[in-house]
Amino acid sequence: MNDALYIAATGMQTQQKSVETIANNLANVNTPGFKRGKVSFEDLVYRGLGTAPQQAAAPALWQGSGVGVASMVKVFAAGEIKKTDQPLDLAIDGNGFVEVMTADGTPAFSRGGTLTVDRDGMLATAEGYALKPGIHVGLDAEQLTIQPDGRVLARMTGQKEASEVGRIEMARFADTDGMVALGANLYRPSEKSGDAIYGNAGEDGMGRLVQGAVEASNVRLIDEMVGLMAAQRAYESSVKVIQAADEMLAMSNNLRK
Amino acid sequence: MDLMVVAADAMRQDAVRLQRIAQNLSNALTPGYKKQVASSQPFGAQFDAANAAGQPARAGASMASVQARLDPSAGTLRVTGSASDVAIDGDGFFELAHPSGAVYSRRGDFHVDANGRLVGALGLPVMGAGGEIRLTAEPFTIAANGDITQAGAVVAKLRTVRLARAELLEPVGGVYALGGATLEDVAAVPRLRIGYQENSNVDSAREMVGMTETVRHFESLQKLMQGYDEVLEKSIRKLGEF
Repeated sequence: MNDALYIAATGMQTQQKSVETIANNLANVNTPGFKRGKVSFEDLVYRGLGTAPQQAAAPALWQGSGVGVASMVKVFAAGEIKKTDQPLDLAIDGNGFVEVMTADGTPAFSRGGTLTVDRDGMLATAEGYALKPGIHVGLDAEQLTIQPDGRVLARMTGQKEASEVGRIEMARFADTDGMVALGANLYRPSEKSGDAIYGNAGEDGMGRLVQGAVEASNVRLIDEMVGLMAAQRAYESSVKVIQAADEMLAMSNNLRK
Repeated sequence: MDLMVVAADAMRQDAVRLQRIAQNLSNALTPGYKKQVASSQPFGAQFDAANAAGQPARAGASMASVQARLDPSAGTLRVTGSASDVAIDGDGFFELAHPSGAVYSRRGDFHVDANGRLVGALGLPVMGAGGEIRLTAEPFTIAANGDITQAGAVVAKLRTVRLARAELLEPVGGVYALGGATLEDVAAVPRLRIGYQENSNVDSAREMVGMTETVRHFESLQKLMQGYDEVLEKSIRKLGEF
């Protein structure tokens, strides 16, 4: 009998996780480059409850132990690419990432966003992480052009022609969904995602760079709301099971008056 | 005192029934989950079975008479739009490789793992017509007949099987081992729906009704026991008067 209590509790816990993920998705519906999180469920291990010896052909009685979170992943479906006409806005039209240098030296990958030129004249993300390999634009660049294939051209003050100052290298992963989100539009590879595969923008499925645009979040409000309702009702039904189990326990206790 | 034993057995059965309802309801949103239904055998059938086995039959229900079986009926399909979500339209199961042998599932949210294998539930490799499916990092598409295309060429074919007596599948958690079911038609190619996911086949209204029924049944057994207890108490008291 107590098992029903514990099984229903796993239902409440997983639906709670689901609601938390939906809350995070909804909170970031307008965050550029945000990738929605997805929780998927799985029924947990089963154990036999004793067999019926006189009915060898009959199935054994299996009792599950509830539901668990199978995975919590980011869904890397593309968001809509929105034109902003800001020269430092960069979107990736495809599956690739741009590598950046984090403070602790571990590799992190970004899906673009608004770039800046940091105080050393290096091209960096809005949070100040310089792109890797470093691209020195210089502080006196007047005009910056990022080509779809990753070449960065800068025109310095007093010059007529823009010159190539570097090339943005792209990276992609065998299993993009296996990447771990670090926040601030940055992701770190994991064992699941595999190591980065480097290449040029526009080649081998890396995606092409779009200057003057940002990628909108891929959160779809209606889907999230429907998911929220489903999660809430599933939570509710687990609560009802707990109430029923509790009622039955109380009745057993009342057998002896 | 047989009545007490019968009622206690029946109450235990109700508890098992509630566990099954808890299991189904907590998995109401688990993709590809197949609900479990519990059924008890009536006394007549138990008596016959015990007789046939040469064992003494006794009055009352017993735990052994509660049977669980899987309801393999299809769940509804839900659009996900993801090209790696595959649902089976009609009969059939995907075959996955588990360390302890082949397992089956109707859950089709596949992805490519870091080793380049196409994997499904629990990270188990999905079986193709020629063993595990290995893909490169290129994007892939799955066709309605199970062909997996990568870089313009068909590189593998999903293995789908039809099972006889699928209700006897043995749940492992996320996937099902063959148990009492048998492979019927290995070459069967059901129609696949790409961009869909199969919902669990749990009907929460039905489970709720079952739960109410179980609690009330339990309650009536409790009353029965209390009533019998009173009768016993009275008769003991009356007998003491003599």
